[in-house]
Amino acid sequence: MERLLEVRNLKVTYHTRAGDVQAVRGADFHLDRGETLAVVGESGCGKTAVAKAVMRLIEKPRGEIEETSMIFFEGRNVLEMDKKEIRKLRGGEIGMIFQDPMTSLNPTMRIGDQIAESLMLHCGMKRKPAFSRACELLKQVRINDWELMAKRYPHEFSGGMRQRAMIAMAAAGGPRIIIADEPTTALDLTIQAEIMGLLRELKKNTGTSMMLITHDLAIAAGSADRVHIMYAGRIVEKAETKELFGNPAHPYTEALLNSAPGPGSESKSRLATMAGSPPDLIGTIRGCAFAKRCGSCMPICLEKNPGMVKLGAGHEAACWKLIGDTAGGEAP
Amino acid sequence: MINITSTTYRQDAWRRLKGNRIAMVSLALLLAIFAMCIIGPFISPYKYTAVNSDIVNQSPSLQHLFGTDDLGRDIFARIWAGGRVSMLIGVLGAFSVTVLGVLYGGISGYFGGTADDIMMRAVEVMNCIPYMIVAILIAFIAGQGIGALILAMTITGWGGMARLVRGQVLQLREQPFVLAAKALGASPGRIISKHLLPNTVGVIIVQFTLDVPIFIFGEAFLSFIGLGIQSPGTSWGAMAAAAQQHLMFYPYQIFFPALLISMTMLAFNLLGDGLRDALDPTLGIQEGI
Amino acid sequence: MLSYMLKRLAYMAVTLWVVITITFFLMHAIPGDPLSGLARELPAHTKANYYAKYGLDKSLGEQYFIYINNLLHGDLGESLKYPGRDVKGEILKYAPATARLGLQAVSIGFLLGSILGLAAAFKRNRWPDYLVTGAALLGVSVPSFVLAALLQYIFAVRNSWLPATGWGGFAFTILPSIALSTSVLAIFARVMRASALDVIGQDYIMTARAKGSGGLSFAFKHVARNAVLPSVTLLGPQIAGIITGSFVIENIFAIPGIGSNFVTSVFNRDYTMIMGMTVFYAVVYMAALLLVDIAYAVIDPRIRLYEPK
Repeated sequence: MERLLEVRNLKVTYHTRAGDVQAVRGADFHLDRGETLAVVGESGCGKTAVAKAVMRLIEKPRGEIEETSMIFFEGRNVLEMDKKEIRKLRGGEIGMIFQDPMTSLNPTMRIGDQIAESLMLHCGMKRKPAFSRACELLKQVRINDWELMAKRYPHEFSGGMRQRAMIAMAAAGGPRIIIADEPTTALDLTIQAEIMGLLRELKKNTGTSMMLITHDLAIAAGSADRVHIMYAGRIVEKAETKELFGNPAHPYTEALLNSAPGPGSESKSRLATMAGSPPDLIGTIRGCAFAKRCGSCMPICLEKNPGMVKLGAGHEAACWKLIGDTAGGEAP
Repeated sequence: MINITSTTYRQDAWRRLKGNRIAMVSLALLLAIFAMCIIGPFISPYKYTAVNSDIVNQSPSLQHLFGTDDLGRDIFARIWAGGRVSMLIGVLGAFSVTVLGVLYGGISGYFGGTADDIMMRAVEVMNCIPYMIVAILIAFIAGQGIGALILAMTITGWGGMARLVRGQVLQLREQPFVLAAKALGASPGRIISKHLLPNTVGVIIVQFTLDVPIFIFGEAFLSFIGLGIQSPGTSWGAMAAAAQQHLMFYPYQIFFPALLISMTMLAFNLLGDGLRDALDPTLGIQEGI
Repeated sequence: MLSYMLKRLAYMAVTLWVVITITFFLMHAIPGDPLSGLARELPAHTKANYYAKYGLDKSLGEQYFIYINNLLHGDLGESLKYPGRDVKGEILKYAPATARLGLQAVSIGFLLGSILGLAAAFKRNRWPDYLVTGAALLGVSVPSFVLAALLQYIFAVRNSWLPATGWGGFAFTILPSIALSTSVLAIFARVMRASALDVIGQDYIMTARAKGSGGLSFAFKHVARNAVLPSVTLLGPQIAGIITGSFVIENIFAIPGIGSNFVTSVFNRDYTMIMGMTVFYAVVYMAALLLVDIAYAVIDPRIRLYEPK
């Protein structure tokens, strides 16, 4: 399995008026060719920061990636690339789809031109052939009247169509990885399904790997090969999709799965919720970040942060109660 | 949860303004100029109208800190006497424009509909008239005293404030918190006083502060054309206009009024900017995580 | 698009009529005898003849309608101060100088100002930003005539680098253009800077960067194109500012334009000249506003399809 992306000890800090927000506090993950990795977590857990960091889209003075973080794409150190290299990387080798298609497209440029820009930057095309190719791409993402629509502006597209155009734009440069940051959050349910279907099709046709950032477990379940759960800036559980949904190990994962309304839940019974709220990300957090909300909290949870415990076959989770629980469990 | 001690909007704004050094310096400067305008003519040994043909056109010296003009009058005294007029016109003018604009814009914005349409059309037509032309003509008709100048500039200048207030009121009217207040049974009067006005006050104050230099400039401009304050009264603009003819020989004569005009305008602009930063609670963008 | 244009033209015509009417009645409210400007002691019946010739013996209302009627025929009348001089002819004689000065000032102010503002936004909180912001603040605070006097002093009086007054070749236009355009330049620099900073914070800029867009093409395609919109809205009022500024600047630099003549006409109670020039200015200004609105619609595709209220 060719390893495309290797990220170790990723730490991201945002400098805000209220203080320094440590959005990501040490995340390790990787992405291989042809697979889809889902990073799941609630708002504010740092998953978007992770996505942006991979392409080094986090820049001073607003935010910074800590020096000790390591991001390698196809063996090359992303954090040490010069301006020219990183611009080639962005769009040409890694593409990104953003959350809100309403605001993520340039309102004064035609859709066709925006897609063509990527082609001109990364495929060396000239304006006219790039534009024609852009029309073709629009056709591939199932936009009707692709020749006509390419000459239109974003405000003339519907939400779903805009997101399709974004996908076309991200894929245009021929990237090996596409990062989709909450691609369906801003869309209606029916459109969500279409968009996810489109992404799966894209992956199938081009062999592109995908990193899917979402807060929606269902989305992850439907499209991902592996799932990582994030909480308060850290990855707390990693597993293959089936394993995660079948055997959640981390209390947070369990709580997430429980609180999702499913077909089996009674319509009259209350939805399960988690008590409390996520911790403040300014300053250090002592012990496990989830401890105060965890049903299985032990004294050590409040003192020390648990490391990842291997639970077999690519399944890891960071929880103190797992140590000594399973055979082969290790404390780091 | 982030722990912040809760403060009122006003305290918050004042705290922010205090932290803005440039704005504070500007405020101090303005207070200093203001103070000098009041006491200046008193502390100077010369009356600002005192003509003395023996000492015409003297450069600044220890006896005459700013020199003398072509009629032998002490420029130092005249600067502060003229400053009274210029500042008065600036502040009063901005004030009258504010009052007119708030009334007109507030009514237009609150009632909306066809009334708003008509009122705004009127403002638009007014804006199409090159304002200086009308100002010049009015100044001509109404004479050249302080009142006339203020009148002329006010009549042509209230459109900006009106539009601003109207825009704010229109926007606020639709805000959820206003609808919530209505749903809770608040009367229109209460809505206006407790919800709409407090949220527009900030914008109004900022605009007022930025209007003052426009009026000071306007007065100077009209004086330059010869439509400003006439002798023996004086203003910074009138002094500058008179001095312009002797620019080649006695540059100091235009230097001081020009300096005062520029400094005052600059200070008001900086203060206005600072107020804008301080009164806008939406600054301090949180980065999406 | 066509119906929009027609609506606008009709609107302009109405506004123009309002302007003319207001100015007409305002002007006749100025105390004083219009013919006193002739500076001649005239025997009674000669005066009466003059009055009859200019229609000044008729009632105000009648005069008004006669004027409008003449106007519609393209006749702006004769100067009261200098009988025999055709108002329209005079205006056309002086217009080129004013036009040239005005256009130069607008171009410098808008183009250079916007570029500087854009540069300042990109180099935020570094020295180019401070330089531009500081200069802009001064530009807004120092009145144009003060600046004009200063420029004259430095460049023409102390050193003879440029002519102090007069009109002729390019050299004569330099100082007046600078004086006239400075406050405009300052305003556009500030507005552009604020607008560009706002645009840079938008989501679609992140998308553009994620595509690998950068450098000059990024600055123009993505930032400038969107950031210039508020500036375009400001063009109208700024043009008005330049028109009024030209009154004084032309005076100071002794430029034979409409501005310097306007003030003299007001002093001379030269009714017909005043009216003629006012009409001229109003027309120019409204034409500028119309062009600006069209430009705005061209640049911002979002408002092309919808007619503004």
